[in-house]
Amino acid sequence: MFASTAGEFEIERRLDAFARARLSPLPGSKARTRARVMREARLVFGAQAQAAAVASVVGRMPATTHRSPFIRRGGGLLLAAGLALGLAGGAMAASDAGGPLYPTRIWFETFALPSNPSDRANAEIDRLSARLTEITDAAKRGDQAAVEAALLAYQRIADEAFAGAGDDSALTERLAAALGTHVTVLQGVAANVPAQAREAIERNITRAIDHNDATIERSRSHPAAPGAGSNPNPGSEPNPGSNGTNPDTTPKPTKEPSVAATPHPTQPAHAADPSPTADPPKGPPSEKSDNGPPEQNGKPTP
Amino acid sequence: MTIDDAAIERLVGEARSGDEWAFAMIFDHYHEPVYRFIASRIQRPSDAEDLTQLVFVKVLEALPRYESRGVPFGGWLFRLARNAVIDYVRTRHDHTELESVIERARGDAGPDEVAIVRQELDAVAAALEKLTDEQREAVELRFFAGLSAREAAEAMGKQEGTVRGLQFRAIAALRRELGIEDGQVAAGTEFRAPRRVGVTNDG
Repeated sequence: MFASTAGEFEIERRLDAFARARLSPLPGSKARTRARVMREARLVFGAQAQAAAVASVVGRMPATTHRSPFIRRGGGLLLAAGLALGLAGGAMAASDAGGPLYPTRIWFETFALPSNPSDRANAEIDRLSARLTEITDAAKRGDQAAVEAALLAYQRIADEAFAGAGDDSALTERLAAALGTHVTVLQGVAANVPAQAREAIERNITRAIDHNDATIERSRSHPAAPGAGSNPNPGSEPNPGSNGTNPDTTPKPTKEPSVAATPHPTQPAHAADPSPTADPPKGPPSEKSDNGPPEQNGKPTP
Repeated sequence: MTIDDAAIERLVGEARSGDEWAFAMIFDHYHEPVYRFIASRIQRPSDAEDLTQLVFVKVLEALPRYESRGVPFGGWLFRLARNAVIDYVRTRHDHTELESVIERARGDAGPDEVAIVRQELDAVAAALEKLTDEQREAVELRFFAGLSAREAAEAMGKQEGTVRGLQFRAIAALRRELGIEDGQVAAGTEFRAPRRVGVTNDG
């Protein structure tokens, strides 16, 4: 390729061997990525084709009418604006809960998350609240697929948020408090689902509540590092030997967190910034199951 | 499969006009080079896979804005890939750990051979880590992704001559680190160019 001497050839050979051995995609990786990318491509190209079809109709209109150029231009602008709104509306609808672009939208959100663990936890709580709103709206409409999609996203984000909080007890507690509040909201939603889709939506919401309960319980029973939320020595690792030995920093597990957690939904814990060297949060949620974290949706593992 | 620059430009034009098949061809052609480039920077294969997907979705979105005007498509695409990696590393604080990336075992090699190969790969990883960031990026784009000097220059936002210089110095440094003299070629290998995953052939 580039080599002109035996030494350069040897370097190229070794670099090539290195790339083949350590940088090649895993088996199945290309097929997975291709399927997702081409799904996006179909949506984009489909929208383009619709736009082109409408544009061709608009292009033919002036020949058969005798309106003034001003009116024609105004009409064209209105049509263009309508088309743009229609396309934007279509894209927005596609990225709504249950829409084909919804998982992609959720996945893109993870890329915009801050890296600071405290800010990240707040952002994750915002994302959870957004999902909760989607669940509530979809349940009101009786849209079972949207409820299911939003609940699935909610559970994934919750898992991701707790994984990102790691051993930081302040962050974990903040997340648990938010989830506790959400459980109450979810119970309210489940109680007011329209009759036509009640059974399935209730079942899904109950599963999500169980998942939340299990997550809260797991986070509280997990031995958090004492003082991890206000570590005076940012470079130091939490001491595993002292985990769980200080009852003051390890909240008691509660079997019924939904009611107990509601009186104090928001914790003023923003000031207790965790150590900057906390483990980076997990990667974006993935549809695949071979590389990602253990699937827990609907299957709480206390 | 190799596709020349003109064929790539034709495919890009067809994809821009909404041809799904053409976009699929572009994906097939660039998937492995993009993945390799990303995997050389991102530690976890699952993250490299996700980021590769993100790059192609970005390509899809940005395709209507692509204008050839002498800019090779590969360079334009890898600029998107490079920016995606930079954003990812910035937000995740995920640094390259070349030693920790997964190694695919060669099924036809015995234990001794595997040990030797692993040792050699570890030595390459260590030598790469000693390069400057720019030198390493030039190596990643030229050798791992298989880009031409012009494409690599476009991706890095540098002059072609600068990239050639970076590559030259990187090779010299790698030879020093790996102790490779001009007369030294691994036993059992013949002097032929390795398979290229990239597109163009300007060297």
